[in-house]
Amino acid sequence: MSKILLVEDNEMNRDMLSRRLLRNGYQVVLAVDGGEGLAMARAESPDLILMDMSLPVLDGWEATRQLKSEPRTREIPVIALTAHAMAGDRQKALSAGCDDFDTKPVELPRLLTKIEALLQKPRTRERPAP
Amino acid sequence: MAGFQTTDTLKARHPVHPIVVLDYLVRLPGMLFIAAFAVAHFAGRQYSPVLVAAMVLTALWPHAAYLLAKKARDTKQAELRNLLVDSFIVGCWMVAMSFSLWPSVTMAATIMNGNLSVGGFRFTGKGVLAILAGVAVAGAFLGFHPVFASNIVTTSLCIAATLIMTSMFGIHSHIQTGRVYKAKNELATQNEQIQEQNRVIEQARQAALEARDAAEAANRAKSAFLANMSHELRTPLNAIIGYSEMLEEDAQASGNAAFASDLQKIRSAGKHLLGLINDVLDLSKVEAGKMKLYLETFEVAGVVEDVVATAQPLVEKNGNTFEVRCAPDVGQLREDITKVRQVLLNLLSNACKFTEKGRVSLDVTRENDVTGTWVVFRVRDTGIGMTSGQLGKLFQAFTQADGSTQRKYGGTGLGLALSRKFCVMMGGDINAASEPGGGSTFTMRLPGDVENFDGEATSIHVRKTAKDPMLRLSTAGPPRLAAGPRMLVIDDDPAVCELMQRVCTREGFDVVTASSGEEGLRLAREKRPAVITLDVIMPGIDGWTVLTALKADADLSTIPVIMISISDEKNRGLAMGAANYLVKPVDRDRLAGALGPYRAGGTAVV
Repeated sequence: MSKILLVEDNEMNRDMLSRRLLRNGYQVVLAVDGGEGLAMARAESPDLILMDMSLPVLDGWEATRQLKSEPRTREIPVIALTAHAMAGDRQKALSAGCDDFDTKPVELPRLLTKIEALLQKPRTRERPAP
Repeated sequence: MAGFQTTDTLKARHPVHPIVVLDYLVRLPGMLFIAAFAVAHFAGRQYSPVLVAAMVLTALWPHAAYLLAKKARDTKQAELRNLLVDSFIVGCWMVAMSFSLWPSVTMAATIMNGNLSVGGFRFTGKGVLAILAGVAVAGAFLGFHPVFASNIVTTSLCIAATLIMTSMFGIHSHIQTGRVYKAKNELATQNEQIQEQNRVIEQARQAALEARDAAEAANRAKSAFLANMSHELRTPLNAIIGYSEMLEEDAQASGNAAFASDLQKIRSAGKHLLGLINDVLDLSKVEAGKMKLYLETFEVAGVVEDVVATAQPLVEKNGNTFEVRCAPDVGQLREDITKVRQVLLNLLSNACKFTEKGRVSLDVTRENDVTGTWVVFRVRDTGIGMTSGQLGKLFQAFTQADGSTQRKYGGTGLGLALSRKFCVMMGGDINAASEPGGGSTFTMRLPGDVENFDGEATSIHVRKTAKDPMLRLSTAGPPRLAAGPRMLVIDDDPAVCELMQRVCTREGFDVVTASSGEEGLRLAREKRPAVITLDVIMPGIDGWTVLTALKADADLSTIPVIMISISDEKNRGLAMGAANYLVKPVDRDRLAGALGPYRAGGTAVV
């Protein structure tokens, strides 16, 4: 069973997405801000991270950059989640080192496809150029 | 005074100079006096016929002089000639009357007085010459026999003439003085009125400036408010959509079909509302000039595939068939992929919405014409179509073809307005062709010359932070473009800089961009561009200040500057030395036209 770290500050979004991921057979660990997200990533070694980008304490961009610069966590795929209107976030997310990107509100089937695609990739792959 | 009124009435037909009438009124008694002097002078002597004729001519001359002057094209010049004739006549009479002192002095003094008051010093000199000429001519015929004494009648006449003529000049000068004062007062009044008008204009200008500042502040407040609201509106809506979706999944899992269908309605209404909110926010962003483009290079076929997959359920909903033809050579685009996808999806969903059991098709091709190479997306349907009146209103915000359409098909009518705005921002356009009942064709064209830029996807974020814009250009642009004339774009909006760079690079310029007035002035000195485009409203140093600084610098003052602004202050711009002034929004043709003179021959890349 794959373990997914969900970093999301909005309680309802966290509740919804975590329950739906559980229902789809994933193990879910939660973090409410970027700082906690980093700590959980180091402690729990999840198989994949879903990262909201507008987070308190440490925002998603910075948290991802730090994750991708540490040898212990750089291999963990990160999917950035941002609000629909911020179209440029896609670029920003990819250049911060995110492996994929999706918009909120989450369309679950689409997100699940992206999660599965990343989980099935061999982990030996190089970190993409920023 | 009656004479002046006559002048006025004459003026209406033919502008007769006032001195013509005035001189007539003086000349008439003057010449009668001369004739009377002659009668008195020669009293008791024998009259020669020549003398009688001369007296008659003298008495008639004032009328002749008046008519001559009145008919002349330049009445004042004619009148001055008349005065010289007067002087000549006086000279003749002085000889004829043997330089008899009283008549001679009276005649000479009067004519000199007249010459001085009408013609001034130089003219008086000419008058003296005319008198001397009269003396010489008359002397040649009559000989000089000076007898200074005069008889009592002549003397009395001369005294009367002197008094009358002097009084006339005095009265005239009094009237003139009165007129001067009146004119001066009128001038002062008019001056006051002009000053008052200037004050009013200045106040209006101040009010307009304040109103502009207030409007700009309100606009900024609106943008900030919308940005906040967008988050505030979306958060609860996301919860509504998300939880209803979860409950729907639950209901389906437990086989509760009634719940599932109700929950599905809540979810789809929520999504609809979210779409509307996004459209309204996008539209207000575009209108506030806050919408930014995030350019990347991508395969067109990939986006088409993506959009087609998303549109598939919409196609099936109304029982339509769907054909997609994507030309194999369609290649890449360098655009904001999210916006391309959004526009394409909007066109397809419209086609599906207004077509039932028909055919929807999407053709994607790469086409070349004189304006360059384009990637063209054609969305055709066999649906209800539109009248030409409906077509005309199609791309206006909040306007659907008509009210009944909205009730039947839903939607806000924002989609197409937004789509067109996006396309224009991206350097392209959307057009529509349709017939009622005959289906519609929507054509989106986007500039396809991706080879003008580097093939790698470069985010706007990286571009913006590049230290030296030239460095960025030299790595981004192929070498052939570096040969074009250099152009400096000064605009604080990175989206405008980006767009100008794309359009002007295509026009054959080697484009350098500056995001502030300071940077613009620095780059102007360093790069010595062939032409500068300058945004007027910028934070910090505004466009006017930049223009003034450019024109004050001897090295830079010859560089043509094209001002670009939302406010039409063309005269001010041209007065301050701008070569041209374009009012936003600037379309590509106008920009190209304005840049035409500065494009080096043969280097333009079309």
